[in-house]
Amino acid sequence: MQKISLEIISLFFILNAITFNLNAQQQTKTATNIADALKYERTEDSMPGKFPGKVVEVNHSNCTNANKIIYEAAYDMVAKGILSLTGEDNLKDAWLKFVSPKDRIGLKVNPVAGPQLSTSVEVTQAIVKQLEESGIPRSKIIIWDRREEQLFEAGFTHENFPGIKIIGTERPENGSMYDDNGKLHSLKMIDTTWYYWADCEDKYDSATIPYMVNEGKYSYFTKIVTEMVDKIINVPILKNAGPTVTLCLKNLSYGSITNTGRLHKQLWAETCAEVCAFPPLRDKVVLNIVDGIKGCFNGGPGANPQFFCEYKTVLIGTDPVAVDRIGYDIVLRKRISEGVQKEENPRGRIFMELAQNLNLGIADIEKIVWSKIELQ
Amino acid sequence: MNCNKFAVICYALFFMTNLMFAQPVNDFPKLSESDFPGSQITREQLFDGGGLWGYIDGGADIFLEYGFDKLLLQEITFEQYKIKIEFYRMNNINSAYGIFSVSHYKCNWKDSSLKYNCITPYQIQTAIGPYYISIINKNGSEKEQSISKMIWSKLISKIPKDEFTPPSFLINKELLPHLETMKYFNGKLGLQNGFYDWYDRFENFYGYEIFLLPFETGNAAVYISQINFNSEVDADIFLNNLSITLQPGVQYSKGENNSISYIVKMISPKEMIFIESSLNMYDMEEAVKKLF
Repeated sequence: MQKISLEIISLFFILNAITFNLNAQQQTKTATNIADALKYERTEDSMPGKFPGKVVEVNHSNCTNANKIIYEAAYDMVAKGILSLTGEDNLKDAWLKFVSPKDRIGLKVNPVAGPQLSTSVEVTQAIVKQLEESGIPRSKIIIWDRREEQLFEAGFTHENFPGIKIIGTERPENGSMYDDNGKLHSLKMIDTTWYYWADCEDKYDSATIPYMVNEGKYSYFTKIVTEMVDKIINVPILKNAGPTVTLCLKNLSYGSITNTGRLHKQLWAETCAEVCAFPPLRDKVVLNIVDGIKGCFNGGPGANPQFFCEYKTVLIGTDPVAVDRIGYDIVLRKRISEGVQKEENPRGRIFMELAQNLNLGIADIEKIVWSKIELQ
Repeated sequence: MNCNKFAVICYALFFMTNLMFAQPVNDFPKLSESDFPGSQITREQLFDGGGLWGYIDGGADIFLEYGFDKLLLQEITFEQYKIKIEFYRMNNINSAYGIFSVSHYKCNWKDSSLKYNCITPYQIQTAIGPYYISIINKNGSEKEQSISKMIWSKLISKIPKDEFTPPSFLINKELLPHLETMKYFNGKLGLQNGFYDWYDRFENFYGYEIFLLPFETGNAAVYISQINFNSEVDADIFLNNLSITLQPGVQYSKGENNSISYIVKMISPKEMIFIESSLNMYDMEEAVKKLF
């Protein structure tokens, strides 16, 4: 009898082991080189920066008029937010906590969805103005993204930002994406010594490749982050991506590397978190300012006017994960109130939890110190 | 073959290929400046296949999932107003309707000359034939709305009115008032954008089609659908996951789970009519009798 029991118990454990193994195989994650990123020692500027878990939400009931953003209101929202975040009384002191006049500062905007659903010119101009007032020369400021043409289309022009370099990784020269030898000009903009490797790939047709730069299992970082800037101020727009959001982490990660199509399809959440763990981003992003004056609650990341809305808010923090978490709640509330989603699905938070596990910030809402400022 | 001949042939092939790919812009029933004397077309750009990434980056995914062929983007300036026209040619009528079905929301008006359109101050959307058309103005002013409407009328006059047809059982006088809310999905991004509540349920399936009519009656939600699975196995797994059992030789079944009632009627081994509701089973069956 005892022998039978032991056999049954043994069988039970063997079956359990097989089941566990099968489950493990089913849940095998696509391999990436995230371990490479973690080998680099953190610096005092590493994410989540000077104020981990702290987010300031600045709402302004009169920041738009007839579908236009009022620059003065945008300026005020950014200024009040920075002062509150830092606890400083003086705006210059507040900004100089993050940057200095010797830094080359990159403003990472999101111009992907055209002039109506991109980081606004007004909020970006407000940031530039306050940097200038803090002693940062315009010649030290760069506005950047992956696609240079989209930057111009969204209003990041030399007319709107005189004296500031505006540059994209994917950029034409003399009207063509290719040089005389048939090579993409963008290849000059990428740093092959910094890359995100993932064990997945996709083939791109000739129309797609100028926007991906390369195929294969490597996504290279742009030289804009590895060489051209010392500090990054991240300025995404408040919008959804399906049932989740495309805010700080998404704007940084997908905006900084090549060959993203394959990652969109298979590793969206992992890419948002893991790419930000590499030193060119982890150690350079000093501030996140989410432009939520206008945004969208559905249809994102594309631009569908049916789903545009005015959140009339700006979110500020050094911790990109905590800022994303607050932004996520704002978008989710709007989605539920508009009836496009019934309730939260935790799937939407996976990328933030992955980022938290990489010590890039705080995703746990209970641990986030979230303050609100109401302006009118 | 010497190298020179080979190079000439390669060049000729390259040139011909370019020509082949350059031609389709003329296939589009696009706007021309002569359509509106005094107007100026300030941008005309064709995005082909994955080139859509260049226009909307991650937003391209859902179009590619539904089956995307080409996008013709035109910007027209008329009486100082700039209007953007996005002309998506999808692979078929269902794909075009599918994109339309997950892209429109609260429509302020609807034009009776076409079945599927949605008009808001900033945008007019239409599904007609294999085309999904979005006409966008900047400020939503009355003048811009009026110009957009004019452009829309001109455009649709150039396209045969070949419109999406729902599955026959849904063309029922009881359901007619709700037909406008009908959604069509053929992949997870469609569900993610158009009916997220069902996303998890279909996560592990591929190659399916869902024609879904969601509506409310009283305080209860009713979701009537036809689901065409890729295989009999998928259909079985779907039913098993919901604890719905079909007796051998019987094509109809029902089940209840967490106050949600389900009714299934098999059309074929891999196609079914699937109804879900927060109504109790008795009321649901009474309602469904009118359909079957």
